[in-house]
Amino acid sequence: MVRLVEGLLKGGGVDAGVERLAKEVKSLEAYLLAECRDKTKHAERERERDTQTTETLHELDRRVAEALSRQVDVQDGLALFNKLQTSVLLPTGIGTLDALLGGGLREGQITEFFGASPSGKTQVCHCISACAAWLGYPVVYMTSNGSFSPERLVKLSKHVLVHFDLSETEVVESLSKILPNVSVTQVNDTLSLISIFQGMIENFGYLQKHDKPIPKVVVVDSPSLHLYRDLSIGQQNFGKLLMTQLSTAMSELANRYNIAVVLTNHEVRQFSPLRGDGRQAAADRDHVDGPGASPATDQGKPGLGLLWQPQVNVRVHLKMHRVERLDDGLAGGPEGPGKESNERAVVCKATLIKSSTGNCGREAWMIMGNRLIQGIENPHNTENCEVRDVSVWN
Amino acid sequence: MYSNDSRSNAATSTTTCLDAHLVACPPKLRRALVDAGFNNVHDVCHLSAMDLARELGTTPEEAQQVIDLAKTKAVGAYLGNSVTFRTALELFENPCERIPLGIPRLDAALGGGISAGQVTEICGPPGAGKTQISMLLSVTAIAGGGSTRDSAAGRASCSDRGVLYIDTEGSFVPERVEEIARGVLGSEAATRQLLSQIQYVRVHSQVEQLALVSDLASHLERNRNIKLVVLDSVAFHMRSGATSTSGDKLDFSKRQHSLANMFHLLTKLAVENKCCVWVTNHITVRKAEGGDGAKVVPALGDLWAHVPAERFFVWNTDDFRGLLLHKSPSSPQVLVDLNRETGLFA
Repeated sequence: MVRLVEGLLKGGGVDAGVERLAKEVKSLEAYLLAECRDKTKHAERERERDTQTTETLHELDRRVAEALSRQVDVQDGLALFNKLQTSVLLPTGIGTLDALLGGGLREGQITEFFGASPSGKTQVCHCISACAAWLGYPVVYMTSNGSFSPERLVKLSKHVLVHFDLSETEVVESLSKILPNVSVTQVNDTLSLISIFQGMIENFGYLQKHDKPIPKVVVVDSPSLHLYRDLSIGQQNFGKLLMTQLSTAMSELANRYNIAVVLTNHEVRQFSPLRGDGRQAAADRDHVDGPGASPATDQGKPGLGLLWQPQVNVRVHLKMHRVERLDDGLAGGPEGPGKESNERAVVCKATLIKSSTGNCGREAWMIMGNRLIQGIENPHNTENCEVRDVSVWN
Repeated sequence: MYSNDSRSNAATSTTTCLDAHLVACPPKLRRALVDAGFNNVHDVCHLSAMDLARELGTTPEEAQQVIDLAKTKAVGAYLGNSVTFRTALELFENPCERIPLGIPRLDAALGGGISAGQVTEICGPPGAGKTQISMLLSVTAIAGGGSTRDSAAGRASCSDRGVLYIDTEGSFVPERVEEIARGVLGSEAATRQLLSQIQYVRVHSQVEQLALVSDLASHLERNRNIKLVVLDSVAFHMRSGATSTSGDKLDFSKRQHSLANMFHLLTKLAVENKCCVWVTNHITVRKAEGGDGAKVVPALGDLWAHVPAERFFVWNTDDFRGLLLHKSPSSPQVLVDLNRETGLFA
C-alpha cells in the first residue's frame, strides 16, 4: 500500500486540502476503494471552507490514478514478443517432456506437476534443478516432506546431462558446478512458505540492483501438503486466504523476475458431482464407490480445487506404469534397469493438462530407473512390452 | 552467496514492516490498520486490545487477533534467521544420518538405510511382517553397524542412541526384540543394555495418540539421544475414529484436521530433531481405474500418501516374502525377496 500523501507528492505538490483528506483516507488504495458518497462529502466540506487552492474532485481522482499507475509497467505487444524471443526455455533434461512442454519450462510462468503418490513428481523436480544448475542459474528448492536427496540429484544429473552432449568426464566435472547452485530448505507450514516468497520478492530486487545473480528456478515440493492442513481448519476462509496469498506471491515473483516456478500437487478423484470439492483428497478412500461415480471421474484431477486451478500457467499430469515384459530398446540396452532382478522398470506417462502454448491432451513417456532417465516412445506401440498400472503391486 | 545476502537484508526490513506479520490477517483488518496509520510492529504490540479496537473501529476480539499476529516472532523469524538455505553441495558433503535396514541390497540402493529427517512408511496386509521389520529396525538403530557380517565377528557394541517405540495395537513383543538383539550383538550384557535404550509407549485411543504426537517434540528435546521414532501403526486408531457412532462422533472435517495436524507434526518432528520417523500403515482396496478389479493402496487416503518421503510395501505368500521399495526420492523401485536375504528374518 502507498500512503496518499507520498503517492501524490511524486506527481506534483500537495495542498492543504489533500493533507486534510489524508487524515481520513490514508492510502491510495483506500482512496480508490472509498465510495463516491465519501468523496463527495469531502468535496462539499472543502467547498464550505472556500479555499482557493482546493483541487476539484475530478482532478484528485486523476492524480491518484496517475500515482497508482506509476507502479504498473505498460508494455506493447512488440516489446513482449521481443522479450519472448530472447527469453530462456529451461530444459527439464528429459527429451519427451521437453517436447511436450514446447521446448522446456518457460520463465515467468508457474508450472505444476501433479499425480498420485508415487508418480515421479520429485524425480522431475530433481531433473529440472540439475539442468538449470548446470546452465549456471541458481536454483531454490523448497521441500515440505524432506524429500530432497542430494545423492539422487548427483545420480540424475549424470543421466540428464547427456542431453547437452557432454562426455563422461565432462559430466563428472560438472557436478562441482551443479551442487553449489542449488539452495535447499525445508518449509514447515504455509505461512512460512508465503513469507519466503514475499522475502524473495523484496530481496531479489536488491540483488538485481547490485548485479548479483538471482535464481531462475524456484521449486516447491509440495505446497498442497501444507495447504490441505490449513484448508481442513474449521473456518474454511483461513485456508482459502492463505491459498490466495501464496498464489499471488508466486505469480508476482515469477513475473517480476522472470523466474520459472515449479510446483507439485496432489491428485484427487471426484466420487460424485455433488462432493467435487478439492478437499476430497483428504477423504479416506475406504468407501470408494460413491453413488455418483461415473467413468469420466476416473481420471485424476489436480488437488486444491477450483480456486487453485487458474493460478497455474502450465499443468502436467504424471502417472506411473510398471513394465512387465521389457523390450531391449526400452531398457536402454544391456545397461538398462530391468536387467538387474531386484530393480523394477518403471515408466512414467506425462499428460499436458493445461498450457497456453502447446495443445493439451498430448502425452509423453519417460523411463525412470537407476541407470537412466530419459524419454521413450509410447510403450503401447512397442511390441515386446506390456505395461501395467504400478499401484497394483502384487 | 545469495542466501546470506537475502537473510541480512530481510532481517533489517522485518523490524519495522508490519505487512509480513499480517499475512494471515483478514483483508478487512489489514485495511483498517493501514487506514489508522499503523505501519510497524512496535506500534501495535504495546497497545491493549481495547485501545487498538477503538483506533481501528473493530471489536476487541479482532484487535486481539491483530496483536497476537503482530507479536508472533514466527513470521519475522522465518524471514530473518530461521530460514536457512543450504546448498546441495553442503547437503551432499554432510549426508544425514542413516539407519540401516539390515538388508544389504536395499541399504545399498537407499545409500545406507533409512534417512533421518523424513517420515518413512511401511505398509502391508496383517501378518506380513510390518512389526517384525519395525522391531528389527529398532535394534539395528541402536546396535550401530547393523549388518550381520560385522556382528558375526563377535564384536558386541552398542551405541548410545535411543529408540522411542509407540505401539497402538499392542503387537510389540519384547521377547522377539531380545532374540533379534542377541542375534545381532551376541552378548547377554549388550543385549540388556540395548533393550534398556528402547522406550516403549502404549497408546489406547485416538485422543491419546494425537496428544502424544503433539507432545513428542518436547519429549525428544529432553531425550536428545533418540534417533528413531517408531509409530506402529499410524492407522489403527485413526481409521476406527471414522466409523465410531458414539455421541461425540468426530465429524468429517474435524477428523481431517486432526489427521492433517498429526501428519504435520510428524514431518516437523523428523526435520527439526534430525531423527527418523518410521510408521507402519494398514492397506486398503480401491477400485482400479477403468473399473476392472481393485488395487491395493495404503490406508488413510491421499492426504497421507504424500507425507512419507519413502514407502515400503511388504507382503507374504507361501514361498515368497516380498519387500518392495515403492517410493523413494533417492532410489528407483526395488523389490527384494526376504526369504533369500539375511538371516535376521528367518
